Amino acid sequence: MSDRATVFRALRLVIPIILLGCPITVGADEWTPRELRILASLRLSAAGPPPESPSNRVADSKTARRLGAKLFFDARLSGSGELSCASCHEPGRYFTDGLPRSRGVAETGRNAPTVVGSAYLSWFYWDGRRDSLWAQALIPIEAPDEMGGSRLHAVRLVGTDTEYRQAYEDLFGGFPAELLSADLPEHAGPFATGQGSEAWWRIPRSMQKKINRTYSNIGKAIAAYERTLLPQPARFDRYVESLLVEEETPDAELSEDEIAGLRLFIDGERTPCLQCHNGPLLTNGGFHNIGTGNFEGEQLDLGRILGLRAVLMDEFNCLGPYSDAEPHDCPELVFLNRDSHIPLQGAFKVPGLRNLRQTAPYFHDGRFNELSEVLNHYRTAPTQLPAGTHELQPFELTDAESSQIGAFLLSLSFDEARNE
Amino acid sequence: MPASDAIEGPRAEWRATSTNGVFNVTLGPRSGEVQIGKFQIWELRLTDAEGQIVFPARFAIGGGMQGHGHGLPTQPRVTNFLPDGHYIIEGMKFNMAGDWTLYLDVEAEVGREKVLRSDQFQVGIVVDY
Repeated sequence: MSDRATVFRALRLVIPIILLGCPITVGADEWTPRELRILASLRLSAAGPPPESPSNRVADSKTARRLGAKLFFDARLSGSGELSCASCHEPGRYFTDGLPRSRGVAETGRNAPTVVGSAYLSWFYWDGRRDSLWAQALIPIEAPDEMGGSRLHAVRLVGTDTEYRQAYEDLFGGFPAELLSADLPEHAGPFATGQGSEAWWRIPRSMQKKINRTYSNIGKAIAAYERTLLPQPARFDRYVESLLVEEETPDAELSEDEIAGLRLFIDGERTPCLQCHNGPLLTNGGFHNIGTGNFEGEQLDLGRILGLRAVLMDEFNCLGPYSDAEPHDCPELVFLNRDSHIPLQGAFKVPGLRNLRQTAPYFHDGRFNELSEVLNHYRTAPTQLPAGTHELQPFELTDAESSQIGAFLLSLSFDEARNE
Repeated sequence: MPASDAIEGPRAEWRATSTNGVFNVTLGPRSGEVQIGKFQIWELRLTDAEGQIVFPARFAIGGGMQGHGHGLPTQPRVTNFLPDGHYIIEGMKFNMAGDWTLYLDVEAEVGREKVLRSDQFQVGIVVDY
């Protein structure tokens, strides 16, 4: 590195202090103290280890991880025997499926989000209808358009597979043998397909509770595996880490376009990006309305306004009988804003922006294949009601600037070549 | 504009007078710093027009970002109080930087006559990095 560059780097943190936050214009990668604080908040290392999961007491058990990994890839959980969790969350596609709307037994209404990094999230599904990874994992198994199985079928699989049963008993202290009784149907579940739903309501409530308990434990094992799928540092992270420790030889560089895009991304005067896409996963974890709700037709999807009701009614939520948490361990649910105000119609969970290179198409219904289309949506916010009832504020961005933001966003993708 | 002021100093703290001047409030995060995206415990001190601590009191808390058209991501509540007259608010979380407004509805008996009064606050909270 040249002496001049060394001086620039040494002055990087000193000059801003002298100028009390005035923008530094020398050099392409000079940042003000406030900008450096923003960059520090976005780097992956700021996330730390995944938060604990008090509602799942086996969340960090190795036995649960191993059992969960096998269940995640086991198509026997589905009604047809051909679909598993991995059918829509393919490891080779960063645990997505590459489709606009996922296809299980039938085409679903939503795009499959990645499982990577889900251990950091508080809400699951695009509408937040579940409040834990384990509670989320219970829906697709018996959703008619996803795996088309049933909770009783899943429970009996674990009870009859020797390896699964041993792991289950090691984790949860015994498998209830009565669930394998010939008096019970093969399929039963409140949301199961065909006869399975009717069969569920003929099962005594005491038996339903035992099935639910065992089914919830299956979800907890799957969640223990999913918690191990963590995002890896991207070139952006190495760039920021280098900035913060003032390395003379930076571990990674961003191109001029990527830096220009990053500046636009964090500049609240120019773009609203950072409002919702903040923190190390580039999501604030909330639900916001960007005018993408579908209010009519086959793709009708009101988003959060229904998810809010669903999570409160869910017997598998953090406060429910199958949770291992105490109420004080459930702040997200205890302090949930239950106000169903109009903007929640058509609001969806803010997705993280890491690994966009591997997770197209984008938005809750996969309507856009390219980041340029996504950015154009923000540049031309819908004005017609009801889609016009959204939070987007108009802002000006040239095509070149839009491309620069797109370039920056791709620098947040895990660099597979470097990490092989 | 909300009738409130940020208090100058190392701690993030705000002071406000209620709409009809019945109450005054001082509030801020216990840690002294608003952290974006984190649940934080806040403390609130309520006094009457004479500066006397008001206790007990009933609170309703709401808010949002007027400029963005969305509310608070959570529903904070007063959950406890301290011997020095501070009330404890749990469930506070701001999930983005910018200009937030907190609405506080307060009802309490004030003065020697213990007259039941209610009033509202609008507190402008600026959250930044």
